[in-house]
Amino acid sequence: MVDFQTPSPSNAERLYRLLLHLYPADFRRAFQRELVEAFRDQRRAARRDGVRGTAFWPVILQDLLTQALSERATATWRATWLAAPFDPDRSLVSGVLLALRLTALRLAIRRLMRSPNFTVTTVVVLALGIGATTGVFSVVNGVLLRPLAYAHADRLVALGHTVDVSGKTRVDESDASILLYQEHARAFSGVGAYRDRDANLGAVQGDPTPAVRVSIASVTANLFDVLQVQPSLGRTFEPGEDRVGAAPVAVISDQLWRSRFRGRVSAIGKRIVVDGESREVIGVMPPGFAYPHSSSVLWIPIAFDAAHANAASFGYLGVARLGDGVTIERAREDLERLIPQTLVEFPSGIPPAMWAHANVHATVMSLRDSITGGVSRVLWILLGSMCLVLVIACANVAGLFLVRGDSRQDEFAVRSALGSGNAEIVAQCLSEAFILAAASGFVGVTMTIPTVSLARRFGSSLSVPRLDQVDVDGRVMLFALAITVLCAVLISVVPVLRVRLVPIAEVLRRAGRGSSSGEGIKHFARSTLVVAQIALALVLVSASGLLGRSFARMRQVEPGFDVNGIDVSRLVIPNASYPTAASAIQLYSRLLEHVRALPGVSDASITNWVPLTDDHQDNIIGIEDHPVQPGAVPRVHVLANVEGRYFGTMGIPFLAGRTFSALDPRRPATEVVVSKAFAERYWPNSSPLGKRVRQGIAGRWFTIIGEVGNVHFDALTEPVNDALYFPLATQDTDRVTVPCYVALVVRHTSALDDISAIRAAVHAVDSSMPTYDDRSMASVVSAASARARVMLVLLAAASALAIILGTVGTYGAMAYRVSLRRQEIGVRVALGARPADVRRMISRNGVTLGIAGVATGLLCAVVVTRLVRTLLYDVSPTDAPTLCAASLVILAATFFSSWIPARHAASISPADALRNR
Amino acid sequence: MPERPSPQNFLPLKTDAFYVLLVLIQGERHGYAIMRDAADRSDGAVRLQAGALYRLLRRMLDEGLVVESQRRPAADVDDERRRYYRVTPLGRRTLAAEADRMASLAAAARAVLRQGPALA
Repeated sequence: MVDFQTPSPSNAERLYRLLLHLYPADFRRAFQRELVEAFRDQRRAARRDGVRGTAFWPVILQDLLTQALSERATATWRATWLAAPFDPDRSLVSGVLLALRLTALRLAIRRLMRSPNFTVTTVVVLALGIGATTGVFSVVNGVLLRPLAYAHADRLVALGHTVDVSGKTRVDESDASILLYQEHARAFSGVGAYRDRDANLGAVQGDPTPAVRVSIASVTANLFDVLQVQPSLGRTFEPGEDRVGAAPVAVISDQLWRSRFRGRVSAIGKRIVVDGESREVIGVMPPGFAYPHSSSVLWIPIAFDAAHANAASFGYLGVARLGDGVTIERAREDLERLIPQTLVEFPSGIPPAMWAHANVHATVMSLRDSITGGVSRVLWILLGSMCLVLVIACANVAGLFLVRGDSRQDEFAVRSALGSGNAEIVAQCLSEAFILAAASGFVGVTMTIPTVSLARRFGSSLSVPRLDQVDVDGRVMLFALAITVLCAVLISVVPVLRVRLVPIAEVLRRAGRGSSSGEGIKHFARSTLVVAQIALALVLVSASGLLGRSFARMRQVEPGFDVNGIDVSRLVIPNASYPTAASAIQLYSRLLEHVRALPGVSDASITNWVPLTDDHQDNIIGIEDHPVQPGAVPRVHVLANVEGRYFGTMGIPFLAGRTFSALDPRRPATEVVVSKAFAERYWPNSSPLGKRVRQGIAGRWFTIIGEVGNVHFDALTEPVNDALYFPLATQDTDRVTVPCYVALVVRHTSALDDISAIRAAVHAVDSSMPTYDDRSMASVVSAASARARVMLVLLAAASALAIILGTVGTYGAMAYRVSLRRQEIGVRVALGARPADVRRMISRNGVTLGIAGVATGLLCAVVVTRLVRTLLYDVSPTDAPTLCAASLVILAATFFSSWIPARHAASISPADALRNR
Repeated sequence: MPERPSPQNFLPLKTDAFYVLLVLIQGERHGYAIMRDAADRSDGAVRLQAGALYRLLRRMLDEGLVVESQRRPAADVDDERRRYYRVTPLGRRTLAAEADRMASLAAAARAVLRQGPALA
């Protein structure tokens, strides 16, 4: 940023004087001296008050830009519609009417066919813009705008809570809160909840298919009623079936019904084995129904136990249907009213003071927004950048159109003189613009169809929700139509205004002299178009530059473990097959034994949280020598349960102490390993070893036996987590718990693909236990930055397009200007101007436009790049090096595009130029 | 001779224009002094920038609310590069009319507010 204190005073003033050229000439003439005077006073005052240049200049620039633009707009408006002795509305309206007559369109087509180069260029440029914009809009439409596929979907809301607990701000629902809301909330016609997970789907009666992993959801009995979806066969859950001790039942998806039961009606009443537990199939959902995920294929009832409901265990997602006429705000107030009741009905062993301290508040948001919240910003930004490309394309074509209009100006003038009205000339421009835009729109929409399938494929690898909804539907077509019309208007508005601005007599008078008329206005129009293109291109280049820099920063982030040579394979041990902790531990030991014995495997271990995936586990952590105030809630920390050799396998460095001893079912350890960040938070100057921590507020104390390096658990762009590692088997107050959703991490020495060998090893231990989501750790890490990468690629493509269009636009304008000044240049050369002088004269023209464009563009960029702030990692949206680099790129492109015409101008021979006269 | 313009033609005044008149009634000012005094007088609420001010001044000159002053202030404070502006009689009457208009609005509002809210 310019600091007004460092450069000599005249520099800032010179810059201001230069920028004053943004004002129309007459205004500048009248007030320039005083504006400069006022600027000087303001600077003096600012300096006196100690205002920094970074605070001073934005105010000045904003004033300058807005006032200059509105002054220009007013001036143009006056010149066009007020000064001219002519009824504007009639000529424009009748021009539009004339333009849309069939004969006019036919004539326009014939005229366009006569200049195929112009026509093809225009259609290609516009079609690219329309196609890209419509393509992105179809994604926005499907993902963000289309209502969810449920009846009265606008009444569906997602429920949750905000809390004031250090380390945590949002939580979902607990069984207690759901039971409470179901019983007492008045604002809803139904409150449901679910919990999604993976499960082993065992063999079905009469179907030999082996066990597979499927995505299932445990749901409250009323969830289907809340969504208002009827089963296509059988029934859904009945009230009471979602309580502990109810008969084991299941509802299956249409797809599962067809694949496992061959679509037979007799499927109802058959039994199916889910995680080792046999359940009766009671219903089949209609095709296309998949909730909460597009992969969900099976629903089982939640087993709520009102007597043991825990108000602090927020493990469920709430979804509800608003009652008739109830607003989201009213619904939230209704829930707020109930929250203090929670501990009255479900004491859960929580001290009331602590509950009050946690400051629990209800949140209610539209279900659609809750599903798409993560990607909506990204998609809108993408759509915005595509619109920018489209506007650049329009400015480009408008420039071509203007040149085309010039070459036909004499024709227009003669026609006018012969009695054809302004309306007819307007009609000619408009009908050509409409034909061009229509052709481009057609090509663009045709391009959209492959774009959509590409977007679907791309998006699903980036876990964009609701991609199945992306399609070219009526709304997309309407959008395409709207932007096509907009293009037609944008490209024809300048030539149409010109017709109004240039008096016929003058054209005829000048026609004989071979010079073109209305020079000032035309010159201004063309310059404005070029400046606009450059400015918009700079905005896009800056945005993608920022994303690029942010991506580079992200690539430098060390995840905290050794990425290479690790494979991850997930498995679930069904409760039914391994009911006791001891049996589960035995299974894990045997598994590890088998896998570690595989050739090429150097080590293997088990964790329940693979870093940088959707896994998550946290709890409030009490620290023995950091007691909290009575009633206060201790800080929430993320935690993982790992087997002792996890750190070695993952390559997480050991900083102090030791790891857990080997798994022993009879002696679960009360030991814990902490990350460096955790140790530094509580014991910045001493060793954490020997200190004691516990989960919750009344759990058993665990002794810290080791300290390891930091790991990014949640995301590379988030700070490292102050995490704790508990042993795989933990002894709580009265029982031993062992996680049943785990991942096998395997480090191998050879580069061989070991996944199938690992799968076989697991199969050898328990054939009913499938592994799933098998992948390398390197792919996990690269997926963690995939969204940023794709966004970068798309924006970079948009900016490349913008640069190309901007360069071509500048080149066209400059080349045209040279052709108009041919004779003048000829005379100059004849009078002794050297080629270098001519070159300098022309390229100075181009560079002036470039500087004006860059100045405008920088102002816009400062505003617009704020929008991408949330996508940036460790880069400020006004990162000076990036903005400078972007400006330089654009300036270089402008210089290059004005250099060719300049060289051409320098080679004009005076004899030729003058002979053509 | 055109009809004598009535102050009513310019009402309601935009806040910026209101403050420009208010400042100029106190004496002739050049551009920067108007910006500064308007900010002072409005406790910083009206922050006119140069471009906005001169576009506004040009309109008010056209409308005859202000004129460029021919007299120069005392020689020791004068800066001959600057142009000074002063209020015309029309400008003065317009400001008065605007003040009356606002006063009657304020009175109407106070009368209702004093009664307290209507019972729903």
